[in-house]
This record gives sequence, C-alpha cells and structure tokens, in this order.
Amino acid sequence: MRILLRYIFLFSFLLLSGCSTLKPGGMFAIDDVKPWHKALLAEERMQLNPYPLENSADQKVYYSRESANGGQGIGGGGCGCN
Amino acid sequence: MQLKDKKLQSKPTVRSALMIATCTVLSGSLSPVCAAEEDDGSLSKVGLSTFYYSEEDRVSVNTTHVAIENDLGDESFLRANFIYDTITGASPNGRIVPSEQSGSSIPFTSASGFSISVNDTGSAGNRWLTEFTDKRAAIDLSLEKPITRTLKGIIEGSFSSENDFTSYGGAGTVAWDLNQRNTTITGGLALLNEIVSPGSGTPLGLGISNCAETAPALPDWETCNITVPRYGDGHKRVFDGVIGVTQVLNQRTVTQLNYSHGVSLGYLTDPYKLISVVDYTLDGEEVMILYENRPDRRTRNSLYWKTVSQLSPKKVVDFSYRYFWDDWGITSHTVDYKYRYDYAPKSYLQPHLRYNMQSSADFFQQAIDASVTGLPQYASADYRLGKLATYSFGMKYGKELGVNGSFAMRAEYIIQSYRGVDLPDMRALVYQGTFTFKF
Amino acid sequence: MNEVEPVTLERHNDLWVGRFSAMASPCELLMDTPDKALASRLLSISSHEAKRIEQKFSRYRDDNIIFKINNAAGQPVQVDPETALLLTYADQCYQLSDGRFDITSGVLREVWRFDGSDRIPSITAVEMVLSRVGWPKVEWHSSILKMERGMEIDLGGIGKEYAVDRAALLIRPHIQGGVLINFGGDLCALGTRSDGRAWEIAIEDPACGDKKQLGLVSLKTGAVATSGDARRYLIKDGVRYGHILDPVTGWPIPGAPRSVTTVASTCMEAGMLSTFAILEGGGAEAFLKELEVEFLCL
Repeated sequence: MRILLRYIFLFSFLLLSGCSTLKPGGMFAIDDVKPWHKALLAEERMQLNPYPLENSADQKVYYSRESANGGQGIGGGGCGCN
Repeated sequence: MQLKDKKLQSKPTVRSALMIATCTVLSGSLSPVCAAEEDDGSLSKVGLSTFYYSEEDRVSVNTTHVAIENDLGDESFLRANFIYDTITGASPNGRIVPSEQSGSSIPFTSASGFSISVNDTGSAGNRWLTEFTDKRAAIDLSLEKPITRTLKGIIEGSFSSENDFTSYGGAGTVAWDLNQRNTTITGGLALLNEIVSPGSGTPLGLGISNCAETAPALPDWETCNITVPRYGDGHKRVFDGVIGVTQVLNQRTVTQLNYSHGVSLGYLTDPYKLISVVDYTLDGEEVMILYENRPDRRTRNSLYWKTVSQLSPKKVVDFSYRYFWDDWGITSHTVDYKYRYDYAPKSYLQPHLRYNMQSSADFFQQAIDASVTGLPQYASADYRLGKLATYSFGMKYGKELGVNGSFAMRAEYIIQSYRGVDLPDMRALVYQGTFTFKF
Repeated sequence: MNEVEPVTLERHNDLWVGRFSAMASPCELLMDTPDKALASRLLSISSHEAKRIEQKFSRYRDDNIIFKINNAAGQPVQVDPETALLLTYADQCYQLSDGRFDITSGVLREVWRFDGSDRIPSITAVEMVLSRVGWPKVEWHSSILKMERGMEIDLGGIGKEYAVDRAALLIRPHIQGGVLINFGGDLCALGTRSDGRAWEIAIEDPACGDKKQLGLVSLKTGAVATSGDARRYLIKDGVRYGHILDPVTGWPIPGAPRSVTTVASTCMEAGMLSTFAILEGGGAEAFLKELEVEFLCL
C-alpha cells in the first residue's frame, strides 16, 4: 500500500506539471531579461516566498515531525516542538 | 554644465516630482492612474492567520499569527511577527507499543511538570504516549535596509517562550544583485540559543526511568537504580549559515539554489523521550525504561532548489527539492509542488503535494535488547529520528478583496508512515485561514 | 495643410484598428472588442481630441493661443486654464531638469538645420539667437504670460504625449476590453487584452528602413514614449551633432543617445523622462538606471 501511494504521488507530480523543457519558450529556456520585461516576475504569486503565513505554519509542522529541517533560508526562531 | 554638478535633489525625488507634475496637468479629469500614484507612499502590510492542526488521536495545535510589514521609504522595511500557539495532546515518547498479549505495564511518570499520565498495571493503555499541554509565544523583528544600490542587508532578532523552553537569537543576511538584477547572491548567518527546562530538571542520558517489578531477569549491566533526573536546564547553541543564488531564467521563470550548513551544540537530547529495554526471550516484554541520549553535537547540511514559473497568465507552478544530510546518519529527500490556477481574475485554487522521506539516525533503535552486554553511548527511539515518509495533500483557495486586501483558506491532509518503528501511520489535518491587507 | 486625411476603421486579427493623421504623425487606436459601434465611438473621441490639441497648440498655425503668445510683441497675454496647466508643467520641468528643458529654445532652429549635411552654425550666430532663449526671462503667473519681443514658446516637446494621455482619459469610461493608443510612437495601454495578455510593442531603429526590431516592450497598462530622432543630425569632421540642443549653450548635447524610449504610467511622464535622459547626454543610461525607469537607449 505504501509503495503504491508513493507511485501515485510521483505520478501525479508529472500529470499536474506543465511542459518544462529547455527549448525556447519552455520553462527553463534561458533568456537575457531586460528590466522592462519583468512585469510577470514582479507579481506577488511569482515570488519565492509568496505566502509567508502559510510557509511559517508548515515549517513548524514539519520541524516537529521530521528530522530534516531548513534549506530555504535562516532566521525565524526555535521551538521546543514535541 | 552638467546636472551632476548640481545635485539639488536626489534622483528618485525627481521622478516623483515629475509624476506629481504630470498628474496635476491630467487631474482635471481625475485620472485613475494619478490616484493610484499617491498610494505608493509608504504602504504597510498586515497579515493575520489562524491555523489549526490536528492529528488523529494525538496532538492538536492552534496558532494565531500576526505579521506586520512597515515600509519606511527608501527601500527600507521593518517587519514583525507575533505568534501564539496552544498545543495539547499526546505524543509518542519512544517506548515500544505493547503487543496485545503483554499484560503488565511499568508504571510511568513523566519527566517534568506536565500533566502526568500514570498507567496502572493491567491496562497497557497508551503507555507509549505522553500527554501534555503547552502554550508558546514567539516574536521576531527584522530590519531590511539597502547598503548600496545593488546590495541590501537584513538583520533580525527572535525570541520565543514556552512552559519548558526558551529560545532567542539573531540573524544577518546580505543580498547582492548582479546582471541587471537578474542574478542575486545571498548569504546569511544565524545564531540561536535554546534552553530546555523540564519541570524537575533534565535526566541523565540512558539513566533508568523505571523497571518492571515482576521482571524475571534484568540485564547484567543494570541493577534497578532509578535515576532521579535532576540536572539543570539543557542549553543548546545553534549556528546556521546559508549561501544562495537566485536567477531569473526568462520572463516567466525564476529559480533559486541554496546551500545551508549548520552546527548544533550542547544538550540535543529530548528530555521527555524514553527508550524501552526489551527482553526478546519473554516475547518482547518491556523490562526497563531508560531516558534517551543523543550526541552533543550535530552538523547539518542541505541543498535546496526551488523554481517558480508562470506557464500561462492563469497558471503558476512552484516546485522545490531539498536534499538533506547530517553527521547523525540521516539523509532526506523532500519534494514540494504547488500549482496555482487563477480561474477568475481575483480568485485562485492551488493544489499542493509534498513528499518527504528520511533515513534513520545511526543511534536510532526502536528498543534496546536486554541481552546486550553493554549500553550504547547514544540511543534514541524517537520516531522522528527513524526511517519515515510523509505525504501531504492540500488545497488552497484564495481571493483578492478590493485593491488592498486578500483572503485565503486551505486544508491539508498529512500522512506519516514509519519504517523503523512499530507505530501506526500518523494522520493529521491542517486548516488555515489568512487575511492580508495593505494601507 | 488643407488636405483632410481619412479616418479609417478596420478589423485586423481580433482587434479593431482605427487610423488617422494628427500632429504630423500617423496615429492608430487598437481596440480589443468585438463591438464595432463602440470601436467607432472610441476612434471618433480620440481623433477629435488629437486634432483639437493640434489645432490649439501647434506653432504652425495662425489661429490659436500659441500664435497669440508668440506674436504678442512684449504685451501680456491671458491664457485659458488648459494652456495654463501646460505652461505650469513646462515651468516645473524646467526646474526639475536644472534648466535644460526649456520651451523657449525653439528659436535655435533658425540657425541649426539638421539635414545630414555639415553646415554647422558659427559661434556668433548661435550667440545671437541664444539671446532670445531662456524661460527665466518669461514672466508667467496667474494665467498671464509676458515675453520679450522675438521670443517664442514651443509646446512640441509635450504636445503629443499630452494628446495621448488626454485621449486615454476620454475613452477610459467607455472601454470594455483593452485599448492601445499609438500617436506616432507615443503609446498608452488601457487595460490588458481580453485574455490577460499584454500588448507587445516593438521598438524599431528608425534609421533602418526595413524596420529592424531592437527591443520588445510588454505593456499591460502604462505608457511608452520615445525622444530623439535618429534621422535629424549633422556630421562635420567625423563628429555627429544630434538634434537635441542645450538651451544654455545653444549647442547640441554631447554624447546624447540617438533615441531613448521609456516606460511610465502616463505618456507625459514617459515622454519627459526620455527627454530628461537625452538632455543628460552621455549620462542618459546612468540617469535612467538611477531613477529605476524602464528604458531602451539607441
């Protein structure tokens, strides 16, 4: 059951993704972006931490239930999460 | 005669003066553009969140979070977070889960001034869980200021306090923009001081908490000298550093790679966690309970990669991968995926998937075999150090309210399953509602 | 001057495109709406406003307030509120540019003819004309303007952008989808296109006849304006004299880019920012970067 769950999980990642290739126009296409082309990147939903209230709540949940922590940045406080 | 010779006003002032002059000419017809310009003075943002986490039969947490961001002008910001948690419930304490047959149960008192759960003999009950109630208040403040046109710095301080735990610390980060601000290099250092103060002190690592009264044989290495815990508070110092690169790949995509390295020193053991000594010749019956013991040093590393990309005006994907490894033998992979779909101009739905797996710590063991000739130096049966996998499935709904506000609510379902510990899967639900507004 | 250029309205791809001629430029209106009657109404409003402003502020006419001011021979002239707003604006731009944007500098064209030849004026000629230049010499307050005989004001540096913004204001209450106003390269976008896409605007090198594209601006709302003109210049002894003149010295601004395109929230602001940038000469790019304006310099 667990193995099946894992496969369903990984498979659904692929299904929900859009196309992500290196070809021009694809997600990872590398362009030299001029300052006047940054309108999309300035949107709130395009930020690297767009939902800080949710992110901080999730980090506490996973900090108290898993051993691997951090990665996104530093700071915030500690908690004696049981 | 160049403009540079007479720097009467700073350049951004020229820009805003020009904007005002233009709007004066056009304001006869109440240009909405001009009305909007006035708002760009100094905006403050306030975020409110109420969060409820509930594990099936175990811990529940209720959190209120207020976040304030004050724009001080000149690209400087002052930020504050106030967080208040209430935690109740029961958590696995590391003792083995009794099998059906096992009738006896060692009376057990918790190591601190929490609400105690004492089990009588006869009912195995939930001896492998410890109940507690806790309230936690935390505050952090940070100041972001530009140093030069392409360099900015952030300093922050944090403080948090619970019944038996206090932490305080500070961090500093710098961010350097290059390449027409398409590349940003960040570096940060943080220091955190944590103090664990269980009600009656911290126990001796691998000291005896209690023994079975009717156990036929105790291990060679122990007579049942119950250790009364009572060292003082446990002190822990944590150092963390991170370096990262953020790169704009194209008009719709930005990606970030961070490497973090941290060292934790001091009292890293959990004073409430226990480890059972089990006699396998007696059908796995628990004969003793010991306090756990962890090393007094831990070095942690992680590599974190995140990409945010707009596939179309309505679709944004946000996915990240983290690889973690430390010197306790734990390695972990975490994949997180969010897909935001703006089905209407001001509303969106965002499904979320997260998968995390970790290997167990070197000194992790579910129980100590009574027949071993000597105790290991370190041992812990805390399921969080064992081999496990966490699956999260969530859905979020968000909506913009007018020009200045937004609202969102989400629900998540989390399943954690264990490989190294004989514990049933943990299932939890998360509900969170957030409001943000600018003024 | 008596020819009336036709006003046309055509369906092109999924847009209504209206075209007309005003202020010596081809003007067009791109409208993202299926409603032809609405497109026609918007076109009518815009073209009438553009022609009204041309008629009122063009220095080539003899029947408007500009002619009256330029031929007042030292006598005070009372101006209407709209003209007063523009003159106040010109005054503020003079201050903000430390004297380099000056609407009285038009008379310098009498000695400078930018026809690609090598005929640059003599220093004496320039100095003689320079005595008739200088906004501080103009008395301007409470809607009354008084200028010395021989001085002239020219609103050509503001007029087209003002027309774009005025047209935008007038059509804004009527539009349902996105509209792009383009008066000879000075643009304003009102609302995005119906599917949320931005307007894609190509910046061309005017010196290249085959319209080679140099840059692409993605505009959701806001305005784009261009200053400069690569075709108007003089060359002598290998030195290129661009046609933007410093009103203080009477000579072209050294090192000025051939043209500057900027993006801002209104066309007037974008136009003035690009003008200020050109007036910075060689420091144009640094100037715009410091103000954090989106731009393209040629």
